Amino acid sequence: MSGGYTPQLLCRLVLANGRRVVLKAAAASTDAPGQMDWISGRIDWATVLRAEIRAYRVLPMLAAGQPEILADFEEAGWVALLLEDLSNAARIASWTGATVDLVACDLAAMHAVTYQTSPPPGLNGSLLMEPFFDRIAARGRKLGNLPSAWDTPATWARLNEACRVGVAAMEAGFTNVPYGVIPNRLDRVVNGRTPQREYRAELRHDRTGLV
Amino acid sequence: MDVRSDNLFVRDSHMVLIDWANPLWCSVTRESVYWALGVEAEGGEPAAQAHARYVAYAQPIPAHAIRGALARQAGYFVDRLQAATLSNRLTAYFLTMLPPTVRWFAQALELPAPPAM
Repeated sequence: MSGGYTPQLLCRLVLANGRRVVLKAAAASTDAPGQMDWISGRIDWATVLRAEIRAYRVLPMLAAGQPEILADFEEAGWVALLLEDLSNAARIASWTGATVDLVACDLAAMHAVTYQTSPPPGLNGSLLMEPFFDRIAARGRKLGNLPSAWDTPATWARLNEACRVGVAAMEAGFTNVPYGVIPNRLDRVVNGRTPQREYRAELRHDRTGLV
Repeated sequence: MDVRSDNLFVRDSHMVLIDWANPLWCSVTRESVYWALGVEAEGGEPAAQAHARYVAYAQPIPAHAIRGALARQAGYFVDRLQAATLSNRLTAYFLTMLPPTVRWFAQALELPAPPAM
């Protein structure tokens, strides 16, 4: 199997009972043991996979939105996770109104489940909040890998202004913001239709060409 | 979490999210904004419109929280792209996410529109 943005190993296996499963595995790093430093890129993917396994284990309330977890183990310096094969599940081939609505509803439901609950033990980490705008402003007119269309005096001036406003917005935006989402709006039915019904109707239309 | 189409499946008319490698207990605004930006970057409707659908199923989110999440994402993408230390694959992904992010950021903070990319 291929895909994703990580060098972790992904294999589709058929078990003795005929069930198809996915094996995700990573070898412990010798260069950066135990590290998950996303800034420098020094990442031990075995540690990352351990964190993923822990996340599945400590968030059972979100199981409906997770693949089924079948087993995990460590052997000879490798960390491995055996999980449900979703190759027969539908993918988001394009963001239609129905698919956007379906994910919007389920994402809100996922957030609602965690409303007013404490972080489970073992779920560490916090959102990367660095002085992005200070660094951008300090670099001056360095393009790096930004689009070449940005390399104009007018755009650099706009970027300077954006840095000034951006610092304040970031500070205000993450201070005293209610975490929550109200669960009781999640069974919302619009004109007798739910996002799930809309999605199924779209699938039928795609398959048959009929509305 | 990375709520984007390559991590999403639909099973029994509900979403299933894979790759929980870096879950954080943090702002739902940031997560919903990030998802909405991905919708536009992947050819869907404008991010603000997609996010409004999310808000329809959730508690109204204060405008300053949305502006903060947008500022964080815009700052993060621009900073990393300008520093030019990302892998080619991540650079390509960030460049895809950049236009909707800076467009919505500029709109939400009443800044001049960003240049065409």
